[in-house]
Amino acid sequence: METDNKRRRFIQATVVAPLAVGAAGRLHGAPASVQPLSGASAGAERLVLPLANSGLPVAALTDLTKVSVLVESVLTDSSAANSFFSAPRSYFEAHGLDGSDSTLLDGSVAMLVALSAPAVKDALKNRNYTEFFDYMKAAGVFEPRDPSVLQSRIERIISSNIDEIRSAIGAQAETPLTPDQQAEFMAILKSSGTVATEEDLAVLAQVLKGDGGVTIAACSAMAACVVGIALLAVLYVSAAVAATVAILAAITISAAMMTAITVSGSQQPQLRSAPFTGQFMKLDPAAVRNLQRSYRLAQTTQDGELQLHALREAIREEVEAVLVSLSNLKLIEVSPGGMPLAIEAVTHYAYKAAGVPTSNAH
Amino acid sequence: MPISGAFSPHTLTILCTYQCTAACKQCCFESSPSVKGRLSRETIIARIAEAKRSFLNLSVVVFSGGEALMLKDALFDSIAYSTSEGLMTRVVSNGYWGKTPKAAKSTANKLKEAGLCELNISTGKDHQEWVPASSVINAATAAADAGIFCLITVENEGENQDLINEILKSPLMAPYIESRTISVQSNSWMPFHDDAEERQQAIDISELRKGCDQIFGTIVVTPHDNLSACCGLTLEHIPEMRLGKNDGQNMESLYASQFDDFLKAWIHVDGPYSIIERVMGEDKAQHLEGVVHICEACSIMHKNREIRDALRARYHEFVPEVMTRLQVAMALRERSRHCVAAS
Repeated sequence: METDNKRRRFIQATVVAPLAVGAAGRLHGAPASVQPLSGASAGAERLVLPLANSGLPVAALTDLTKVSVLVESVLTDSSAANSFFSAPRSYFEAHGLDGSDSTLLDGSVAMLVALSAPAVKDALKNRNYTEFFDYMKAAGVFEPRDPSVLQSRIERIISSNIDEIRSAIGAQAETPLTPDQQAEFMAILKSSGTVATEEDLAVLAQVLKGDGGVTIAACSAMAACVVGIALLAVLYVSAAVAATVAILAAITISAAMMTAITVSGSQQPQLRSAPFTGQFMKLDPAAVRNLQRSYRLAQTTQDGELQLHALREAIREEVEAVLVSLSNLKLIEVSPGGMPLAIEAVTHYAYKAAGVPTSNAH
Repeated sequence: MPISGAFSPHTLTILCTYQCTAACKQCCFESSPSVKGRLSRETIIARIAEAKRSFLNLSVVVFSGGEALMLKDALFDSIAYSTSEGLMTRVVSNGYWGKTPKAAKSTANKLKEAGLCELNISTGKDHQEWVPASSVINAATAAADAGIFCLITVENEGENQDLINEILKSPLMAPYIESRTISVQSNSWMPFHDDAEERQQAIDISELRKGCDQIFGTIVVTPHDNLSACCGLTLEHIPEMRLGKNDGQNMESLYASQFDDFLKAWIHVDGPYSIIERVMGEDKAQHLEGVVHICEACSIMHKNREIRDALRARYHEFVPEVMTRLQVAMALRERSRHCVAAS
């Protein structure tokens, strides 16, 4: 508390404009809403950094035509791409642009350099998206992240709401779902407006129960329970995000998807109320940023499959994190060696529920 | 093409009034029932019309405040006008009009009739003194029933997440959250007065280090009919964000004037937190310790004497790099836009 107060006194003491009369306690001075002429409203006190005084030609600094031509040639002409990729610094400087390390480390510039790599162009040409994304990770276009962070945060959410989840799936082992509980889970699934059907769920249940060796404590309809628990857990994500990582604005995967283009006019898949749609990713801001970068790559390359590949990977990661969490918390029991198949089965169910087509590419 | 020609705001925010039904202790505008300053129906519609004429990419009009719903018919008319112009609309409210389900339904239906696309309800610990969670829930569910998507934003409460849990776990809310007709999110919170309680917030510094899309992406008409460059929490604390007084014909030129100021481009590319880090070097910690919000960093950057002096003395060092990064980002964005438009 003392640290906080100390810091607040520091901010107050260092502001330029003297605090107005009666403004005691304000950390950032008086807002114009209550004092329209407060602060450095005009003239020399106004903090402006004129481009015209930078000592550089303003026209060149603000002209987009030349840079647009450079970007276009690097993305479409193999000779230009090779020249740029082999020496981006000198390529930029030869075109009158800054080639400093700070520029080359910039996200957009790093993306342009990576997209000019022969290996990346080959991967795109051959629709080998796994290779493409591996390259992007190695090139630093994506932030390095530890998948266990997401898994542990999901586990914490489920753990802190475990009583409610247990009561939703049934109180005792081997007790079948009551008709009401069954209806509730099915209502969740039916209200989704997705393409996954009860038959899909039945198939999923068979897979989980059979070769997957999955049994769910206290729930006979295990597939419905896995999906239902995931849907319940999603409800708690908003509160958990607040407790785990404060976000600055509406970082929502659905919003990202809304703006995530419809490359080549393809329609956005139906995502509402599907159990795994990238929503858990909000618990790891680095994962959200990487997903957003995937969408930028899809926009830049005009390859919609890139976006779908990134979404599939996000869904798979969520499914794995949820299943591992459920297993750790003893809400499900998975036979030795059964987890990979369980993940595979639930992932494919999730694709279908989210309206994400299965890939034929790598 | 100049960079200014490639940018065009996609969002127009109308701060209809500074007045509010609530008087929250840490309100960024110090809004309350007694604060004056509001736009007339005629001015709002004139500004929307001018923005629509001036900016080809304009797609969304946001009505906020203060409490936008205090404008009543003037707000409904302005939403209807925006809708008739093919613009999407969003209202930001504290939900005070949801005292009873019946009252909430009446207002929600009027909003729907006007064509409102989305309702955002802002709430939090301080709001609760004036607008209880029950009003928020009534307002949100009434909007969803009327077919308006609703987002409830709860200010970060610190360690204790009582309010967001009360909303999320309300039996009334469950079907709407499950069907995604209502979404709930938590946003980081910043203090404006030194008597604010401490709130433990786990901040991801990477989020603070990002560039600010508000600059160049949005324009704001304030209740005093000024044009502002951003709609951040500290916009009225930073005179430099004020682009000028609207006169009915100057919106485009006021918007374009930002591009003469390198600081605006820099904020767009790096954001104020990173700018302070870069300019202040080893002294950065004393300025950034405890900062929890990008708007807080922006206020500090604009108001702190040492930072201002350092910016004025050193900015030319950063111009070539920052402008190259801006040019490359814009060229990539323009390419994507043209390709999508062509497909």
